[in-house]
Parts: sequence; structure tokens; C-alpha cells
Amino acid sequence: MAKPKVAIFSMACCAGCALQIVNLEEKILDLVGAIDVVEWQEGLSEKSGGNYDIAIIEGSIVTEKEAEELRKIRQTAKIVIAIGACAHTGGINCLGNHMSVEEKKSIVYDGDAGKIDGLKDAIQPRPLNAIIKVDAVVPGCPINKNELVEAVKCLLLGKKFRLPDYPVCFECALKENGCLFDLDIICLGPITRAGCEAACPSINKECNGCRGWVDDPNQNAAKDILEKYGLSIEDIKKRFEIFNAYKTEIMEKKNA
Amino acid sequence: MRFVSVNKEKFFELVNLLIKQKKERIVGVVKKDDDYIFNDLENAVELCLDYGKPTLLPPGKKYLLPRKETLLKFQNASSEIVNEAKPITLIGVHPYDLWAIKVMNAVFLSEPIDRNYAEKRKNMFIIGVDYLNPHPNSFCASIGTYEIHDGFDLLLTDIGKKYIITIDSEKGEKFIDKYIEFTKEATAIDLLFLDNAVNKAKEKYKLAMPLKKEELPKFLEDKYDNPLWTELAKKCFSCGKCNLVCPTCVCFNIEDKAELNLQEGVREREWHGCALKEFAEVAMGHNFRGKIEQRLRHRIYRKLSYTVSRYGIYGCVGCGRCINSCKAGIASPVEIIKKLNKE
Repeated sequence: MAKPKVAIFSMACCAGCALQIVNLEEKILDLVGAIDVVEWQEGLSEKSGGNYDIAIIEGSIVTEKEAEELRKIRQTAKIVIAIGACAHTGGINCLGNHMSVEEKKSIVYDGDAGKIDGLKDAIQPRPLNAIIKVDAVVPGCPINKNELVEAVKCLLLGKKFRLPDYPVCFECALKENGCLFDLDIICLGPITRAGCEAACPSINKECNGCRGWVDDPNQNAAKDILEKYGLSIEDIKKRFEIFNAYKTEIMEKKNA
Repeated sequence: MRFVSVNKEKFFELVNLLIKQKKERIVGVVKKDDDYIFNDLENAVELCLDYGKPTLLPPGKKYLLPRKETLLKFQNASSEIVNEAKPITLIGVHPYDLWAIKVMNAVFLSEPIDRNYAEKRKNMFIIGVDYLNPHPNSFCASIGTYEIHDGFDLLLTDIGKKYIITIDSEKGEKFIDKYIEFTKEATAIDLLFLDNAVNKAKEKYKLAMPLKKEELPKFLEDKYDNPLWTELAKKCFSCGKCNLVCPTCVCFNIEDKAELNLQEGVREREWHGCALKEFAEVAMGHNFRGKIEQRLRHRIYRKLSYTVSRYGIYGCVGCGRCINSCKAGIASPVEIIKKLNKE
């Protein structure tokens, strides 16, 4: 069997997810043994120019140019995997989406935005699936590197890669953590998709929802808990939006 | 049945001796923040044998059905069965958790026998401890799991300066004989203290199942379509913690996991839970318990009715762990039966 040709692309992001691939350490050799990495900004200097079996993409889309590049990758790649919160949910790049692009430019660049070439075709930041069809997602900020390896294995075996469809609470209880709510810490664990092995709550750091919501979060139940702890929806909305602002944007448009 | 007594200091000395011998894993109840967990002991001083709040995860399940267990290793066309069961001693298992192990035995040791479970059970030595400081969410007295007379090797009862040890197995007898210098034969007065301690503890429970447990399967017969299930579902996150922490929830998922070379891999089983949305999803995507109300109803029926008709044993042991862990506050079997009983 010929090794699948894999390309790794970085859009607008901190490149921390691609770095997680480097962090695979001993496993990276197995990974490189199983696939043929033909394009990778972080690891290779040459470019192969298309016909990928798998395109792994991190980052969100913030310019027309990037959007165009993304569409081209989609045309030439058999399978597209979005990795990390920015590619998956739009991530923190979407935090300012309640303002227009022009408004943001004027606040950040104080009238000098016109002088910067890269800003000319700036658009509202978007997750990949707002622009192209995405075949698989490895969520998180940063990604759980083991999950990425699982995803690649599934694709190599022709299996569907499935993310857990239950909240972080399940994995947190597995680790025998006490509940942060009992320490009066508001945690987004109950509605956030598991798979991170409860990384943050396990060090007493509340979940901020970087892996996005479970498919069908019980918003009623969330409201009940907030009330129990004396919080309003507005209080928590900002927390929701750290990683899921694009989702709120879509939901508000739907409700308007 | 044979009883001996042991001074508390002597007992801790004995535990330290067991730890030093390094012949087997010595696991006991220890404190973790505001909770208790079963964990490998480095020193007997870590032991908290008077704990009131049940441990976060139940000991039987944690060590007899590990949350992730390899069943098989495969390489190309050949495979090899894996059945790892190293000797282990558990110290500080409460009666409700011993009852839960009876439920697990009923499930895993009836035909077809689960070989991995059987091997682990065979290699486990259980030192129980009577539950004398019941937690407000425990309701063992009302369903008869506050005490137990079998299903352990040794059972400690705290009567002040010493423990009375009830011996219930050949392994237990041999153990006591081997370390004979640590214990004394129990006196008639010791046994009076033992009965007194257990009976006094029975009166301390704040929570009680409103119906006798024998009445529950019949009672539930016409409650299947009760509107309560939908009402509770509005508050449920489907997080599955009620399953995870339950000592008698023993469902698992099995998956074959290949290595990246696609030549070798392992077959693993992992805990699963009927409260999770994907639990009842089958091939082609159909989910026969796709709605939250179906799932939380199933959990209650499984505990209070299905295990009774299938194995003749109750699936709920009254520990109250589900109540402790449910953020939405809807998991309590007591509250559910109370609400169903009001109508």
C-alpha cells in the first residue's frame, strides 16, 4: 500500500496545534512511517502543490486570500481534517465578531489600517466549515495529540473517526476529581465535548469550552445550574464566547 | 463464623508490614481534597477507615473492572488473550460496596463467565469496614445494605480502641493465622460492642427509600410512561456521572485499537454508561434510547427492577454516590420513587 500523501497547513492561529504534532516525540516517527508528509510549513521547506490524500489544517480564515487558498486545498485534497479550536469553532479569532471588520480595523490600527497590505481583504474570522466541507475535526486549544493520532489511524483504516459525544464531566469523574462547582468555580465541563481527558479541571482550572459543545447540549439544564449558583445567562455568555463566539453569532442570526 | 480483635495501632502495624513485603498491591481509602478515593498505599497512616462520604469511584468496579482494560493483543493474523490479574488487597470497603461486588459477581460470574473478571476476583483479598458514619445522601439502612455477613475475607468493625474482625473466608482464616500475633480471639463483650456499633449506625441514616425494596419492581411496572421522566430530562446533561460513580453500573464498550503501522494492536474495553447519548447507538446510526428521558428511566429500572428479575439481586445498594455527583440534582433514586409514589 502506498503511503498516503499528507499536507499540513496553517491559517490564522498561533501554530500551537501543529506544534503539538512535533510534541508527539517518539510517536512522530511512527506517524511519519505511516504517512508521507509532502507539505508542512513547520517541518518542510519544499511544496508539492496538490493532490493530497489528507490535508490537515489549523487556524481560522481571516482574509479573502486565505479563503481562496482553503477552497483550492479542498479541491485537491481527498480528506480535510480541521485541527484545533481556530479551525473547528473559529476559536478566539472570532471574539470580535460582534463588531464590523471596519470597526475593528479603526480601533486596532487607529486609522492606519489602509497602509497595511495584509488587511485589505480582511473578513470576519470564520471556522473552516463556514467555507468548505470538513471531513473530520480534532478539536481543542491546543489539540489532544493522541486524538490526532487516533484520527489519522481511523482514516488509514477507512474507519469513521468519532469524537466522544458526552461532556467533559464524564472524563473528569473518571479521574476522580472533585467537582469545581463545589468550590464555587464555574466550569463549562457539563456542555463541552469530552476527549481532552479533563486536562484543565484536573489541575483545578475551569473548563472554558475550547473543544466546542457536545452535539446536543442541554441549555435548559445549564440555565438551572447557573441559577443555582446565582449567575445569569449574560454572566456566562462571555465565558461561552471565548472559544464559541462564532456559534453564538450564528445562533443569534437564526433567532433574529 | 470466627471473630478476632485487633488494637488499632497493631492493625496499622500489620498494614505497614503488608506494604513492606511488596507481595501484592495494597490499596486503601485515602483522602483526596474534600473526598475519599481508593489508592495504592505507601504507608498505613494514609488510611481513613472512618470515612463517611463514599469514595468518588467504587472500589469493586475500579479494581475488578478497570476503566480501561486490554483483553487481547493482535499482530497481523495472530492474537493473544490478555488476562492480567495481579494479587491485590483492598482495605476499607464498606458493606454497600461489598453488596455491589455481589451484583458484579452475579453479572460476570454467571454463564458465560467473564474470565478477566473471574481472575481478578480470585486474586483479590478484601478487608471491609463497617459503615458507622453514614453520609446524609446514603440510604443503606432502608434497603438492608447497611450490614453484610459474607462476600469479604475480613470485615473490621470499629469499637473504639480496637477493631473486631469478622472472618468469612478460608483466605481470611489463613491470613489471621499467619499474623496470629497481631490479634486476639474476640470475647462475648467484643461481640456485644460489634452489634451495638452496627445497630447504632443504622439509626443514623437521614435518607430512606419510601418503599420496601421488595415492592419496587411491582411498583415500577406501571410507571414506565410517567411524565416524571420527561420532566427530569429537562435538567439532565447526559454527562453519565451517575453511571460512572455507581458501584453496580458495569457496562462497557469494546474497541479494537490499531497501532500506526496497522500491523498490530489491542482490543480494549472501557467503561460506558446508559446515560450517555451514544450508549444505545447501533450500526447505521439508529439509537434505541436516543431521548434523555429514555436513558434516565432505563438507569432507574435497571437498578430497581431489571437486575432483580434477571439475577435476583437489587442493583441499587444505597450508597448515594449518584446523588453526590449529579450537578443537576436529579439522580436520586429515593427522590424519584418519592415523586412517583405521590401520584
